[in-house]
Amino acid sequence: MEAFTYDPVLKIKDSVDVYMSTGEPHVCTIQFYHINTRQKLSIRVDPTFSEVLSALDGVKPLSKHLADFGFELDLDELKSILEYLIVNGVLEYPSSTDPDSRYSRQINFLSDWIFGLPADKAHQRIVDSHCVVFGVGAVGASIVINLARAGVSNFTLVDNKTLTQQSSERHPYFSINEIGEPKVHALRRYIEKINSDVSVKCIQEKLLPLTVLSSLVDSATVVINTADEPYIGHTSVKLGRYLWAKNIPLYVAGGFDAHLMSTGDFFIPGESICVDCCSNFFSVALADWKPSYKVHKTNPTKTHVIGGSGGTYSMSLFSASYACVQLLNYIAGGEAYKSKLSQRGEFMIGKSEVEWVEISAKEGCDVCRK
Amino acid sequence: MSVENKVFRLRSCIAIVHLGQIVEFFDSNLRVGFSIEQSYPEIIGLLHRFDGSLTVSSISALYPEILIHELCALALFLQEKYVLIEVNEPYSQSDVDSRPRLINTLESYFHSTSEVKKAISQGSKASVLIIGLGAVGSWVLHCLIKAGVQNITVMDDDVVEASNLHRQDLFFEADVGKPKATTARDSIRHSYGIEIKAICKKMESVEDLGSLPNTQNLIINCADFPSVDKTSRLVSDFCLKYKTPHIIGGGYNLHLTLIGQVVIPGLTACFHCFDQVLTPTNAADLFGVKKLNRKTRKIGSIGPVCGVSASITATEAIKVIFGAPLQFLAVVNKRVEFNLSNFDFGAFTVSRNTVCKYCSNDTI
Repeated sequence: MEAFTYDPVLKIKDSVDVYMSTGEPHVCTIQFYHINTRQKLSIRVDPTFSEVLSALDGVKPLSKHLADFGFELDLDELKSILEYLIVNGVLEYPSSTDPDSRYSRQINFLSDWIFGLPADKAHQRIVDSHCVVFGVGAVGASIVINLARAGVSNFTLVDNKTLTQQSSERHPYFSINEIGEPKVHALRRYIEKINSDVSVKCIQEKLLPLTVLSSLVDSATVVINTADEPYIGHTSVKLGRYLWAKNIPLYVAGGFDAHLMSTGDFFIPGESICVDCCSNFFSVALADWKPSYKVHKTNPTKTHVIGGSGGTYSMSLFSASYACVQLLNYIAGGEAYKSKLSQRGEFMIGKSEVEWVEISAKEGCDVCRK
Repeated sequence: MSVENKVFRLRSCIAIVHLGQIVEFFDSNLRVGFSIEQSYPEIIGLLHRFDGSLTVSSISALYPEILIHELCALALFLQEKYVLIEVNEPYSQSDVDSRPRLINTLESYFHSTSEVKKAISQGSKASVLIIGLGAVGSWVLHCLIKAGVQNITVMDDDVVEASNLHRQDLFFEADVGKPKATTARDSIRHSYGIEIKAICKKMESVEDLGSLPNTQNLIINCADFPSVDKTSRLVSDFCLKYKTPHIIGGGYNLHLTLIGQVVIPGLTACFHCFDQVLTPTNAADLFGVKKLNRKTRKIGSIGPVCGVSASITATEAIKVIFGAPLQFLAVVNKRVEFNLSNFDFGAFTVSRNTVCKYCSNDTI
C-alpha cells in the first residue's frame, strides 16, 4: 500500500443518521440525515466506500481502517469524498473538547446549526456577548436565565420593581426569601449561582421617555425589551429608533397580556423592517378593531383583575424560549434566525400550532431602506 | 336555580367589538373568538352590567325594552361560549391574592366560579409523577410548581453534571455531583416552601412505577434512558392498566425537537396507536435500506429548544391536572415538532385506533 499523505482521524457526527441502500449490486446510495436540523444529503458511491465510512470511529487513522479491510482504493477519490462530507457537516475530526465539559453539548449542537464558523468560535461569540434587558418579569427573566445558562457572561438588567408574593406565579427566580427585594438584584443573585463568571450590571429604574439610553445600551450586542410598563409599544419605539442609528439589534419579546404565547419582533438594522414600520403596520391592521373590555373594580388596590389576564408560567416560558432560540442563533453567527424576521407568531394554546402574521414595511420608508 | 336569579360576570379578558349588525367576542387569553348578529345598539353597555353582583332579573329591570326570557337566553348562550361566567361562589381571598393568573387562565375552561374553585382545589392536590429531570423534566417541574401543583414526585437516578447546567433548570454550579432528584426537591423547598417527593432511582420496569406514591392523576415521561421508546412503553403499559392520563414528553437525546402526545386512556390515541401508524411508515421508508448502527451518541443540545418543548408539555399538563375539558387539550392525537431551520411548528396527527389491542375500551 502506498505511503499515506492523507491520513485523517475522522468520525461520523453523532447527530447524523446514516442510511445505506442495499438494493443495487455495484453502487451504494448513502443518505445522511441531520437529526437536529432535519437536513438530508445523499451520495452514490462504490459499496467498499460504505464499509470504510461505517468504520470511521474517531479513534483510528484512515490508513489503519484501510489496512484492516485490505482494500485497494483510489486515495484521491476517497480524499475528495471525505472532504466533501466534512464540508457538509457529516464527518468531523474528533473534538478536543472534553465531552463532559460544561458547554460540550451546546458546542456539539452549534456545529449542526451554525455554518461557516467553527463551533467553538460560535460558542465564544455567545460567551463574549453583552445583553441589555429591559424588564425582568416572567419573560424577561426567563430570557436572562436561558442566556446565562448558554454562557452569555455580560448582562445589564433594567427594572424598577421589587418581588412580591404574586411574583411566585410567574417569576422563575422567585424565592420566598427574596420577597421585597429589587427584582434586578434577586435575578443577579440567581444567575450568579448558574455561572460564577457572569458580570451583571443592575439598574433599578423604569424606562421613561426622558431616560438617557447611551450609557445603558451603547456597548450591547443586543438589547431585549420585555418592559410592558409603560406600554411595550412605546418603550420599543424609543429604544428601536435609538438603536437602529447605533446599528444595535433590538429584540422585543412576546408573551405579554393578550399575547401570552407569542414570538417576538427582532429589529436588526439593515436586515429587518424598522420599529416604526412595525408599529405602523399594526395600527393600520387594527384600525377597525376598537375593542371594549369590562374591568370589574372589586378591589382597586389589587394589581390583578379577576377574570382578566391569565397566563401560567409555562406560557411565558414559550415566548422566552422561542426568543432565546432566535437570539442565540443570531449571536452565535447563524442564518436560521432570518427565516422569521418581520413575522410575528401566536402560539394557539387550544391547537398547539402557530399563526403567523407577515409584517410589511411602509412603502418608501427611508429608515428600513438603509 | 332559575336563570333570572343567577349572577353572571362578563370576563374582563373578553374583548368586544360592535360593528353594525355584528358583535365580535375575543378571548384574549386563549386568542379565540366568534361573532353574532345583534342590532341592539346598547349591547356593550348591557353586557357590562353583568358585573358579578347583579342578577339577570335585576339587570332586566334596567332594560324594560328587553324581554326577560330573551335576556336569560342571551346570558345562557354567552355562558356556554365562555364570555360570561356564572358567579355562584366567591373565590377565597388567598387564591385571589396569590394566584390571580391561574384563576383567570382557568376561567376560559369552565362555566362557573364554583367549577373554577373545584378545579383549583383538585389540581393543587393532584398527584403527579415526573420521570426524568433533564432539560425538559426540570423545566416542566418548575412550571407545575408555579401553577400551584403541590403533590409532585420526581424520579431520576442521575447526578447533576457540569454539562447539564447549560440547559437544565433548578440546578446550579454548587450542585454538580449531587443527585438530581433530591437537589430539585431542595431547590423547590428553598424557593417556594413546597415539599415534593424525590426518588433517586431509574425506571426499569412497570413494577418500579407501581411501588411509587403519587401515580394516580398524571404521569409525565421525560426520561430517555435506555431509550425514549423503552421508557414510553413502560409508562404506557402502566398507565393504560390503571387508566392514568400520561404525557409522552419530548426534547430528548435524538428527539430534541419533538413534543410528545397527551394520552387520556380510552379517549385519545395511545403510544401504541401512534406506534401502529409510525412503524409501517418507517418500514416503507427503510425498504431495501439499512441504518448504520452507532454506539453511545452524545447529540448536541441547546437549552431554549428544550424550553419550547417543556413549555408546551407543561401547558398541556396544567390543563389535564386542573381538569380542563378534553376539547381544550391541544396535543392529543398529535405530536408537535419544532423545526430548527425555519423556526416553525408542524404536527403529525394520529387518530385513536378503536380496536387498538392496548387501549380499546374492551382491553382497559
